[in-house]
Parts: sequence; structure tokens; C-alpha cells
Amino acid sequence: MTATSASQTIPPAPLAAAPPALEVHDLTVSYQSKPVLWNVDLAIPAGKLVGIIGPNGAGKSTLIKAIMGVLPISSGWVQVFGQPVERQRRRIAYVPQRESVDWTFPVTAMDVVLMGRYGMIPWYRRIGRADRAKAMEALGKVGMGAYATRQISNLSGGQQQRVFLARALAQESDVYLMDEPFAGVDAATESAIVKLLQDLREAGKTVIVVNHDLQTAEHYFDMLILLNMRLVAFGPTEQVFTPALLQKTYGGRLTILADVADAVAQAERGLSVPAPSGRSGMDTGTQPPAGL
Amino acid sequence: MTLLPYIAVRFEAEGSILDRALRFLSSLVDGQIDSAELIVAAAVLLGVSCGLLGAFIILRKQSMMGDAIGHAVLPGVCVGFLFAGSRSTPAMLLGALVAGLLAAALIGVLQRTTNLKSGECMGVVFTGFYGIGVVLLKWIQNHGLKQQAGLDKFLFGQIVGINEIEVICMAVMTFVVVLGVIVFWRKLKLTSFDELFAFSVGVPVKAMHYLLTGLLTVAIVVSIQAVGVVLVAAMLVTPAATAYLLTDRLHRMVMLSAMFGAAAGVLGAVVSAASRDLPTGSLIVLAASMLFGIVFLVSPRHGVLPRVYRVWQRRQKTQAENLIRTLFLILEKRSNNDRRFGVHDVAGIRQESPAVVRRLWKLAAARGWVDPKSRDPMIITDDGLEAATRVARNHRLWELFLTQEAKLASDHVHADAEYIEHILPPDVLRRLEQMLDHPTADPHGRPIPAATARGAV
Repeated sequence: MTATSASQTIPPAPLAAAPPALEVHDLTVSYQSKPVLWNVDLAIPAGKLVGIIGPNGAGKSTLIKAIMGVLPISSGWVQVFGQPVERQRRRIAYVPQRESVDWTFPVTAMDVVLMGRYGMIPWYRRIGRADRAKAMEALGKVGMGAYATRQISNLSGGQQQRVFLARALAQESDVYLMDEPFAGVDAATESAIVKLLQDLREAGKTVIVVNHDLQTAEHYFDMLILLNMRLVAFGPTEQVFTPALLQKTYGGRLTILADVADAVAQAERGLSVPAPSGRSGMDTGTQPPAGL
Repeated sequence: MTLLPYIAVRFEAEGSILDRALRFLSSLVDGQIDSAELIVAAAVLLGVSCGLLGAFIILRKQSMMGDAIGHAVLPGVCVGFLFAGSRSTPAMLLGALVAGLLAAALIGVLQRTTNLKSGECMGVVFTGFYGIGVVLLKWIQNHGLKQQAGLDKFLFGQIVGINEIEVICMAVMTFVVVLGVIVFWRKLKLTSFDELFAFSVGVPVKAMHYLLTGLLTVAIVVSIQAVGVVLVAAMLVTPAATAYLLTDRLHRMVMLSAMFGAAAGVLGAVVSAASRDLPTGSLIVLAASMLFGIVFLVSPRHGVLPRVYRVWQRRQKTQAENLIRTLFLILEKRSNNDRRFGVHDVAGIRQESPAVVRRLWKLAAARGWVDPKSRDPMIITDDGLEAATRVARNHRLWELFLTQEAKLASDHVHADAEYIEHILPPDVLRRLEQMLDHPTADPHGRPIPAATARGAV
């Protein structure tokens, strides 16, 4: 396995049949030459609501960021409707974690949503009335129409999350990747977001959501991606949401991967591989969650 | 004290700074001194270019980058001088530009290849560059190169004697900065706010970072002659920070920042031109600090003085409300509708001195709540009665809410209500009434007065 040799495999020519909305092939991602995600294969059909679950440090956000091209890929490839992501930016929308930005930034909720239109407006053109209408419509869909002119630090956490979702809606994409949209939001916002996700699916969109909560994951999603540094399982929720697979995802036995990742990182920096140290239970993914 | 007459005499002898500043300004108007326009033009140019970029720099939390590049350009100035063999400004500015970009690139390399944080990377690089710069500067001076006179003005800045070619150089560079900000406005805005998202929609995030660093270096080079490398970072941070206190919209912040930068530049340059021997850089930076100080004190939303004033006003209102609420409570116990209250009686009930009550009376009279002609006994007006009813009603409603909905014991709720009664907004009040189903008695069994109780007690 040449995890970090950056040997990008050439994707096959698109087949005649309709390609999946999102295809991930043998994807390996590394942070500073330390692999954090190994050989992931996915083919997500269009029109599905898909959850990504796994313990802390499993690489859930990493997977999304690598798909978006935000993080460099060590090996493998990603295609959106049979084309590389770089050529399909208009068809794929990304909702980063709310904590990833500074909400004291001097812009209004409307400004943030309009950013969803930036990709379609060349620099010499002003933001048009149509773009504003789309942005306003998106704000309305998440129930934030009345807050359009609010500076974003004056919004609650749930409202900020809705603004982020509205920005993705304003992109009018076909595939949506959302990183922890339910993190730190109130119950009302959570149900509003769930409704929104279902509406998107009804409209034929593909929605992929990183989710932390196992209890809700079972009910929210059509399909689940079980992740712990590698793909444990991917399939319809009723088939993969099983005690055996969840135990496999959350129940450890994968620390060997973390150890090998360290070894890879050391080797890449030209250092000798250290003698095996007794890894403690602090490692991510060794503790099964309560209630399983 | 003995120093003051001496200073006064000295100022009279030489003409005070104010005098000379006025003379400088009048020469500007008359067009007597050609360099006066040049000085003002230079000050405006450096203020605008630093102010524009400063807004982005502080929003991206890269204030230290300004300091780093500011110091790092010094060896470039010296090398430019050595190459040209004379005090040729374009050569020195070009040298500064190259040194600044080199330092920025080196900082970037350190950040990518080591596990050092950006602060350490900048610290290592810019102090090293600055060290080289100081050594070169001294070497040039020690070797008595004839034309070196004025090279050390790049340390602390000197705007007097700036010539036309230099100002044209500054104008061209400022134009580059302004153009860059306009053309890449949305991309700069997006990458400054949310890099991950910017990347996801195909904005070249890294290129924007390099662009901004490049423009930053240009703005610094525009400023070093007048401000000097030591303090140039202040021109990137202070005007932008001043603007940030005044607005929460990016475009306004950027415009205000440029304006504050220009104002500080002109102010400092005028004083510097008038004072002759004070370094321009420090004066411009002091002017910027002064503007910041003024805004910090008086800006409507975040300013200290308006906030103090608002708190003071609210406290006065609260005190006046407390007085008329006492009157209301007395009135409630009376069988007749006598609206007169003796100051000493009120003082006794409020357990305050009559002097305090008279002060409260003034506050209430100013609001028309007691008859201003009635000193003792004081007479409560219709307006006063209405306000008092509202306060008493708020108080009792809140006590009821705390006991009924929040399940607090009835002896726990009075202190809370004492505070809440003054600040309950109307819409919250309406919801409270609904929630409590329009009650008529508080937890202590006292009646809750109706909302429209004008004169009905």
C-alpha cells in the first residue's frame, strides 16, 4: 500500500450508465504525512440522505474536506457525477463546522448567504437583484428571513447554523456535504434542519451529513457511512445500523491503524520507527460509546 | 512650576508649534511652499494604503505580519542604496519591496516545514532581517558615503523634504493597492471570513493569501519613508481597529479605516512639518492613537462615555421609579384619593434621609411624574401614577412568574423583582400576562393593578 506516495490513480472513463452522485475510490488522506483515513471506497447514489458516523478522530470531517478538495489527497480520487470535483464545483455545496469561522466578522446574515452566490459572479459584475432574491429565498427556507440585516455575532448558535445552511442552499447545488450541522443547536433548530434535509432529498438532491449522535442517526438517514480511520461499512441504514457493525466502528481493535500511521509519519520524515510503546486508552476509538 | 514660564518663553522665541502649523497650513493654501502639497499628498497616500489593507489584516488576525514585514524591509532599503550608489528613492523602495516579499516567503516556508507557530516563524525571520538592516545601515554610515545623509530617516520616518518623484512612486503603489482591493474585493472578503468555504467554491485561497501579503508589503513600502520601519505596523493596525469600533459592516470598516489612516497621516505630517526636529513616524502614529482614543471614548455603540452615560441615565430613571412606586404603595393603603405626600413620611417609609428623597423628587419632577411646584408635600401627577402602576404591576407579575412557573419560594422573589420591574420590555410583559393568564393578585396576596390604571386607584 503506497499510502503517502501521492500516486494519484487515473479515474476510469465515465461509463454509459448514470454515474453515482458521489464516488470515492481508494481515498487515503494524511495530515503532515500521517495517514488519518485509509483506502475509503464509496459510491453514493443520487437522491439519498446519508449520515457519516464514527467516534472522535475517526476522520469524518477529514473525509468531507478531502472530498471537497480542501485537504490534499494522498492517493485515490473523488468524482461528482462522473467528473472530478474541480470541474463540478457548481454542483457541490459544503457547509463547514460552525466553529470554523469567527462570527464577530463584520458582515450581516444576508452577506454570508450571498457568499453562496460568489462562485457564479465574475469579479467585474456587481451582485445582482436575482442573486439577492435567491439569497433571501434561502434565508426564508431556514426561517431566518427576519434576520437578514443582523450582524452575525448577534445571532444565536442555532441561527448561525441556519445561516450557514442558507448559504449552501443559495448555491443551488445537487450534492450537499455538511459537517456537524446539529452540533450545539437547540431542539427547534435541529428539527428545522432535519425537515430541510428531507425537503432537499424530495427535490432529488444528495445530502451527506456528519453526525455525532447515534440515537438520531438511525432515524434521520437513508444510508449510513460507518467510519473509523477506514470504512467499516456503508449501506442502507437498516442493514448497517447493527450492533455488530457499530461495535466494530466504536469498539476499538483499530488502534493498530493509529500505530502504523505514526510509523508512516516517522518514516516519511526520515526517522527510524520507534519501539512499540504501550498505547493507552486515550487513543481515539478505543472506547465503545455508552448504551451499546 | 518653574518650568512653565521657561517653556512659554522658548515657544514665544521660536514661535509655538501651533503657530508654525498654522503657517504651514496657510502656505498650503497660498501655494508658497511647493513641498507642502507634496507632504500632505504623501500623508494621504500612505494613510489610505495602510488603512485599506489594515482592515483585512486585523480581520484575518495577522496584525503581527505588518510588524514583521515592516521591520524586514530595512535591509532592502540599504541594499537598494548600495546598488544605486546614491540616495535614489525608487531603488531603495524596490529593495524594500524585494526584502519584504522575501521575508514573507521565508515565514511561509518555516510555517509549512516546521511545527513552529506563525508567531515564532515571524519573530525569527523579521528580527533577523532587521538585524541585518541595522548592521548595513551602520556600515554605510561608518564608511562615510557622502550621499548617505537621511538614510536613517527610514528608521523613524521623515516627511519634510519629500520630493515629487517620491510622491509619484507612492501614488503608483497606492493605486496598485486600491486596485487590488477593488478587483479582489469579494475573494478577499470570502477568504477572510471562511477559508474552507472559499476553497470549496473554487476561490484560490493560497493565491489570495499571497496577494494580500504582496499588497501589504507594497503598503508598507509606501509608508516607510514617512513613518519609518519601526512604527509602520501601527498604521496597519490602529486605523483599522478604530474603524472596527464604529461599524459592523466590512465595506464601511474598510472605508473608515482608510479615512482614519489618511487623517492620522495628515495630522502627524502637519505637526512634523511645523516642529522640524520631531520624527514624522511617531507623530503620525500618535495621531492615529489619538483618533483611536477619541473613538474608544465616544463611539456610540462601544464607546466608554456613551456607555457610562446610558448606565447613569438608567440609574436615574430607576431611582425616580422607585420613589413613585413608594408613593403608589402609600396610596394603595389610603382610603381616600389624596395624592399629597409629606417628604418626611416618604423618607420614613423608604428609610432614607429627607435630603435623599428631595433628590429623588427632582428626578421624578424632571420626568413629569410629580408636580414640579409641589415640594413638600409632593403631589403625584397622572403620568406619575401611570408609571408607578406600571412598575408595581411589573414587580408583582414577575414575583408571580417566579413563584408559579419557576417554582421559587415567595420569600425568594422580591429582590429579583426589584430589578426586573424597571427593565421589563413591553413584548415580554405581554407574554408574561398570557402565560400567567392575566392574574389579579401577586404571591403575597396584593392586587396586581390593571394595565390601564390611569388615575383609577
